[in-house]
Amino acid sequence: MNDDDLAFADIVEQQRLLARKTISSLELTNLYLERLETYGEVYGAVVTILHDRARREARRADRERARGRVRGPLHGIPYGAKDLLATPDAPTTWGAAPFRNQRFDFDATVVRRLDDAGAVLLAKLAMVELAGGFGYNDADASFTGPGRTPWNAAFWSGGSSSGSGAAVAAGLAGFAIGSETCGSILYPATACGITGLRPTYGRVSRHGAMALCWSLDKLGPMTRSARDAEIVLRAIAGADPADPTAVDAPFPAARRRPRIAVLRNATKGCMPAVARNFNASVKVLATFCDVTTGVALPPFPYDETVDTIVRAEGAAAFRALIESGRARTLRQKDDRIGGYVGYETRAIDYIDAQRQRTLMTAALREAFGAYDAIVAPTLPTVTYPVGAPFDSVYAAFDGNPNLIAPGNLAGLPALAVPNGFGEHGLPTNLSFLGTAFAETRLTAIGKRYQQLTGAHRARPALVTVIAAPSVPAVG
Amino acid sequence: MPDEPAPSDAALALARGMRAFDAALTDAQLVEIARGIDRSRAAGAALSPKKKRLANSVEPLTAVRIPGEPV
Repeated sequence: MNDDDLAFADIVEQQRLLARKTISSLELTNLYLERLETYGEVYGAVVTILHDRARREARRADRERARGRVRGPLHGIPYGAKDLLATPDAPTTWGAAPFRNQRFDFDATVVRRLDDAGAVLLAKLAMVELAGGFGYNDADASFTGPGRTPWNAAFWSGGSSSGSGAAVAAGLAGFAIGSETCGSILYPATACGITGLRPTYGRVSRHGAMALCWSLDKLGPMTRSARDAEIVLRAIAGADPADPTAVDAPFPAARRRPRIAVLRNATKGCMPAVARNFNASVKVLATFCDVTTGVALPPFPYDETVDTIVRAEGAAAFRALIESGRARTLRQKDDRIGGYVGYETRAIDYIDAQRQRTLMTAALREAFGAYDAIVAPTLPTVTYPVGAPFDSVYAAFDGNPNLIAPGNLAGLPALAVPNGFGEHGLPTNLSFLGTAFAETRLTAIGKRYQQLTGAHRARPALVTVIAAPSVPAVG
Repeated sequence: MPDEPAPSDAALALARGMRAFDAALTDAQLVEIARGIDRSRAAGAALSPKKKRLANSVEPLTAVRIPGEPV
């Protein structure tokens, strides 16, 4: 196995090599540190590389293994954390210039749990400033510059967990932790051609994570396979006295033959390749699932609801930044004023948005509760080009009935897996929306799907220099 | 992109108030803030539209938990 094979191996395979002593955790860590140095900045994926901490944790893992102590499937596996998770070793920047020197003196609960599981923290990974809460409209929205997908560096790696997506896709870490308020795991998982798991709201503690929107924020794994995502989720899940929303909840067993439903009009308004790849995916799913077609998304004002909640809670979360006038130092021009718009959100609108959520949650349970998963393309298009406003491209593809806002508003889990490639050689992806706290039913479907298909094993051809910046022509 | 409509006077007045936080906000930025406020108001109106008001009985989604106490 060469270095590339090792860097792109999934957690299960890496753990097998560690157990056989084919490689040590320190050797694996050094390989990833070197790749982060070589490619991290090229793809706008890294804020801080934690050389000392990573090597210290890797040596500890190797010492313990030599003594016969293996903490679990993540023992000695190197990973990266979105730079909204507190650690004492480096600044925690939230992707934003006003916070580039911010420091915390503790590890976020998720980081501590991964440490307890024996994992090795390699780096703090780049993200869209303030997780995108102020309404950015192009890819250049982080103080570290635009994130670029390893599949085509002229295009965005997605947001807001940009670096987490790019690092996993480029083989710069064994896995990564991302966060999602409304799409920030699923979008970069699509843009980067990796597997992303958004857990149920409350499954994973957010203590030590930047708050954008208390009633929507979740943390979750970004990985090279569905089986990896489940391994990481099991390590980070559970109640935490420091986060009153976090609970202990069982992981339900998978069904022998899962029941899935294809969302009505799932491919309407999608790019041809997105539709083609999705239809091919459904044929594969039908070989081991009972498939119902044409299940409709209950009609609600999902976009208006999520926009209102994110604006209001985001303005409260960053009230000090807004009132100080320092929002002017944010990178993206719309972010410099978006906080002021949020500041003027009416209380009555915020409350009505939360009232809509009560109705939506009940309606989604009624419409989807009989199924293990609702499937649809994660996004109607491939990812956006770097350098063009998002609302200036792909106007011909007005979008399918998107599950991202409904799923987040109802607090439901979702698994996104790559299912092929489309325009400009960019990845496409499909999502499974599940029932509350039934993530393992989603990963069971994802694992079987990935046993039968190969998109998740594809590797990008990496570059060390970005060609002269130009905005690619897109429809 | 097509030209966006001029913002409402009410939104523009609210936007001007933001100069209390950042006196360097330009007139063009105030117009953008005002347009955002108008869009925000339109979204708010869609949350309980006149033809289909939310019923009085519909409570907001809340999850209040007291640390250390049973749920």
